[in-house]
Amino acid sequence: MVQMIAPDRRLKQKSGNSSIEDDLRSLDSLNGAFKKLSSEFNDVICNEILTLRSAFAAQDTQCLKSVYSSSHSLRGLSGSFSKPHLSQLADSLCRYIDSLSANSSADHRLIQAHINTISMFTANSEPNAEVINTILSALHNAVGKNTVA
Amino acid sequence: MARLIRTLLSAIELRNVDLAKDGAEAFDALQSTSYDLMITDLAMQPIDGIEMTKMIRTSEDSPAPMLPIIMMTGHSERHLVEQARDAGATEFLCKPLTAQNLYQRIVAVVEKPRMFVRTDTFFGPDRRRKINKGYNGPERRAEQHEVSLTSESTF
Repeated sequence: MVQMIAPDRRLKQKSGNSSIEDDLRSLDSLNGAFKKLSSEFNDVICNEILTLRSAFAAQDTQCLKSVYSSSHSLRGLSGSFSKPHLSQLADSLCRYIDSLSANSSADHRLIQAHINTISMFTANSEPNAEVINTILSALHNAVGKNTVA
Repeated sequence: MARLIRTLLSAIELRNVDLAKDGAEAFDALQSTSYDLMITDLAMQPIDGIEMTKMIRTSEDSPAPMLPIIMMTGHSERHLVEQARDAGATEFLCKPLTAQNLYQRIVAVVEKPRMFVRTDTFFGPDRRRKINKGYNGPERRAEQHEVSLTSESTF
């Protein structure tokens, strides 16, 4: 049996009728908030990298989970604030941790290499695209080799 | 990311926002507070967005099985998005996050709330996004199931 249930209309009743002008005003506000946050982005990223470093330095049972959580945040935040290279580096670290099975041990040198590279590119406001691509490619290869092994 | 979302919601006058660090904490918060909307990441630990959505939709002690859930995901893997859809996510918000995408998803939830479907194996928003008028395949839902509409139905 399939039962179709009408959704709750409470949200619509709360928000009332909106016009195109309302939508444009809201979008302007959102874009303004985004721009303001962009100027604070470096501080947010620096804090996240500190968290990432201390999570890895702890070397406890939660180490990998904490490193993953931090790199996941970095991936999303830097992608949203137009720092694609940083997002790609964090993504590479997430993918590596994702690829580890319960029985395989992590290559800590590879994780350290990711963290060092993320820190280096955060400190450098305008990193060279060629350098980024070379390092990313090397990290991808290393992650690939570790995953296969 | 949660703090970023809260700041953005505040910019459009949505100020009554609570944050939860994972799925379990969010589910607990639902027990004591009535929320209009949930925005969640897919990747969380120990309970991820998919598991949390299943709990909200189908747990016997869920206080809000029809809560609109916007699922943020950076995953391009189709199977993860399908799992989240089958768990009962209402809308998807792909990262990188943009002001326009966030606003569009919220507007969709408010302006075009989707019918809910209950079958033996699924409870959640209707997964069909559009009616395919040229569809010539078997009408599985009509053939295999009796369809009933609740009294609140707006058909």
